[in-house]
Amino acid sequence: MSGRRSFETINYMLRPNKNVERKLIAKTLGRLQAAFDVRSYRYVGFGSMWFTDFVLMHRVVGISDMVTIEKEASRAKRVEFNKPYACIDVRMEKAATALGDVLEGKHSVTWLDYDGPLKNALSGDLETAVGAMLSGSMILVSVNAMVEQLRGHQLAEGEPILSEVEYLAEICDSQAVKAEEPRLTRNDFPKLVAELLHDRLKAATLSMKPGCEYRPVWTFEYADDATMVTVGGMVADVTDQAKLAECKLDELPFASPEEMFQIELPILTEKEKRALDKLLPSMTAIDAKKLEFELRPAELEAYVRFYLEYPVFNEMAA
Amino acid sequence: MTDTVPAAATVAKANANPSKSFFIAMLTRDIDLVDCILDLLDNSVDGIGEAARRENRELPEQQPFAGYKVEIRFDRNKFSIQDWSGGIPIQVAQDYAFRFGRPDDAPALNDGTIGLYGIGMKRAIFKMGNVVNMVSSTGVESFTMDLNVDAWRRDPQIVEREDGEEVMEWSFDLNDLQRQGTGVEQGTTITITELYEGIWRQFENPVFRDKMQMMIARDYAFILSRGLEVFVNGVKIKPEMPAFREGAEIAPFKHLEVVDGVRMEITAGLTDPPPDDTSATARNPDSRIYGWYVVCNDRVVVSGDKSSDTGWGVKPVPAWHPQFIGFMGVARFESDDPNKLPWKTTKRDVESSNAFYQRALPVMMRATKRLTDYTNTRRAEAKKAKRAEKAAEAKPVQRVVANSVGRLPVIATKDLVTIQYFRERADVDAVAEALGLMGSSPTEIGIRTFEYYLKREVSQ
Repeated sequence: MSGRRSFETINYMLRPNKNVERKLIAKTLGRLQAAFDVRSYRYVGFGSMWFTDFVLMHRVVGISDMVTIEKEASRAKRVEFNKPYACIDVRMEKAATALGDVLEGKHSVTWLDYDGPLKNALSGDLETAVGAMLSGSMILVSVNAMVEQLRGHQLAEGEPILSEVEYLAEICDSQAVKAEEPRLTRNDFPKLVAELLHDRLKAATLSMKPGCEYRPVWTFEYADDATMVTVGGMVADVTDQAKLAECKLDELPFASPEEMFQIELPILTEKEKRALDKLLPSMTAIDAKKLEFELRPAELEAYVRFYLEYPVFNEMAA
Repeated sequence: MTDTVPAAATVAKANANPSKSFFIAMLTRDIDLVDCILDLLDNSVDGIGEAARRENRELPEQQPFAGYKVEIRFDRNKFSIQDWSGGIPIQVAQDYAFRFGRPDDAPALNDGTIGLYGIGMKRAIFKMGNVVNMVSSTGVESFTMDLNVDAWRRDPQIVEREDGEEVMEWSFDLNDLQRQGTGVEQGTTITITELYEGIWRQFENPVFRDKMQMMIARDYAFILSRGLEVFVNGVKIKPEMPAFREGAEIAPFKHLEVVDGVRMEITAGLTDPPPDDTSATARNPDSRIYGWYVVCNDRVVVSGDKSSDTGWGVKPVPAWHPQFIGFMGVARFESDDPNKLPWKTTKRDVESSNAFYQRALPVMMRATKRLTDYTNTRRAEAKKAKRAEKAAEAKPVQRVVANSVGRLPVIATKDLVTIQYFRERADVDAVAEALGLMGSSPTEIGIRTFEYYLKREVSQ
């Protein structure tokens, strides 16, 4: 391990799949505007140095009350320096303590984008967040969903290496999860991670928000390098549950409460993208074989679906 | 002359009848949902023994519950528990089973039953929901009971006698009575619907489902290991039996005594090696399972107890501390007369004023003290102690030999002090690297640097 954090190695914006995921979430929030005044909500996230999600939430969704939580004290100036808008408040604090004050008494959209293993999401942040939220608020959680993260752990130095399922039971603090051992594979683990996170949010809501229930809205899987999972939904009392139903999110194919919605976009050159865009929109399916370059049918299909969201990257003179 | 007031005016009766609402509130107030469900499970277990007695059958000594099972199911809309135990005879249902509390003239409790106060079933029903359906069959006779709690509560069921006095006649209606050759399968099924919000929110909660399974695995460990099968939402529960390390240098303490019809068995020892680092930031195993277990007629009444009820913090035993992680004690009480046993009505608490318990407690405390002292002395030779502890195998409590004084690794006693200080992680890592001990614990680094200085700079 080099000890570098992901934001130092990759420019957040250069991840087409993550980029599209953000736009789909923004679209869902736009749809919710019909029944909830999302524009007046507070957006809470881990902006890091890139603030990509903050830019989108301000520009596309129209939120202008935003808080970024940053625990690395040594980066305080960089975070402050990089924040793109004046309406972003920087909280130099651990999420576990900051979330409580930041969410209390204010409708919010909170995105706990861990960019690390599942364990990070099970530290109590979710419970703190849900416990402080107002009904009608949204919460999203993203974690790495590679099954490899379960390997090679021990309880303490000198103790034997735990099996993958034992380690999972340990971080989840649950014996029942041991029954899921057959799903600890590269292909099945992301779905399990999504279920575990939805379950956490549901449990937190049931035990800490009397009168409210958790209504799942999103279940995404995508991979720019590592496989990631994002889940999210609304903490809603009976009134907000009815308002949420009015928004008919089920008409949005990507707002998927349980089924995994996969975002699998190809990396395209600018020239390839322009060639494809020229064919779109199209009422009939485009034949991958007729393109001037190779693209697998699944990649083409993914592109056709998200060509409007697909990010364009350009090198700029500094 | 003074007027004499007629005697009739100097005495009167003040009405002290309870209201049903008060009764329901009192009954369900102090009990946890899990405990309610365990109460119903207790009834299913007792039903097995009662049926055997009625039919003059002997249950096998070691595996009395072999072949019996209980299925518990719950979701947002419904709770149900079904057993294939003996069922409730109509006469018992009419006279006792639905009474609030066991009447004094009820048949004697015997042969180690675990349900004793006669409130478990009613309490569970009132706690969970508004609509109850119960079907019970002995294989010969059967009945059903349908109850709408709210309707029952609103009907006072008080009859005014001719002399104007109120008489309570609380009852539940039994229907579909079959007195001979019933077609209903032997056993009892209780189904509760129109669940209260506080209840379905727990049934929906994945954490509750987990907790339910864990509690049955632990509190029913002794009963499950004697043959009963319990399923929760289709998942079969495996018993989690307390186990003790036993090896060449290490063995649990065990004390056995029978007094006045109560058998007391006290076992204490190490179930895991104590931790090396017990500071607030250390990552230690979940300490829930460690501490004392009190078991009455195979039913675990308190588990992993670390309170003064089991002697912690009562001189000379120290109060619980993470340093004692790894300690486990089991105090088992058995009697044909469950009234003698040290449990409270919820069966989730030990009755510490019970005479038999008071007799056992000093023995428990002596065992605790020996082991807590050991966790201090073992620090002098922590590595040697850990080797011995790890070499020992975990043995389930029922296989521990009776009246064993126990063994612990012998540690030469020295006058020891603790050194504790804080340094920046980066510096400690750098020292670790210089020592060639990358990845070692800070404790290890501290010991090595101290030894380095001691060897070089201090004349010995």
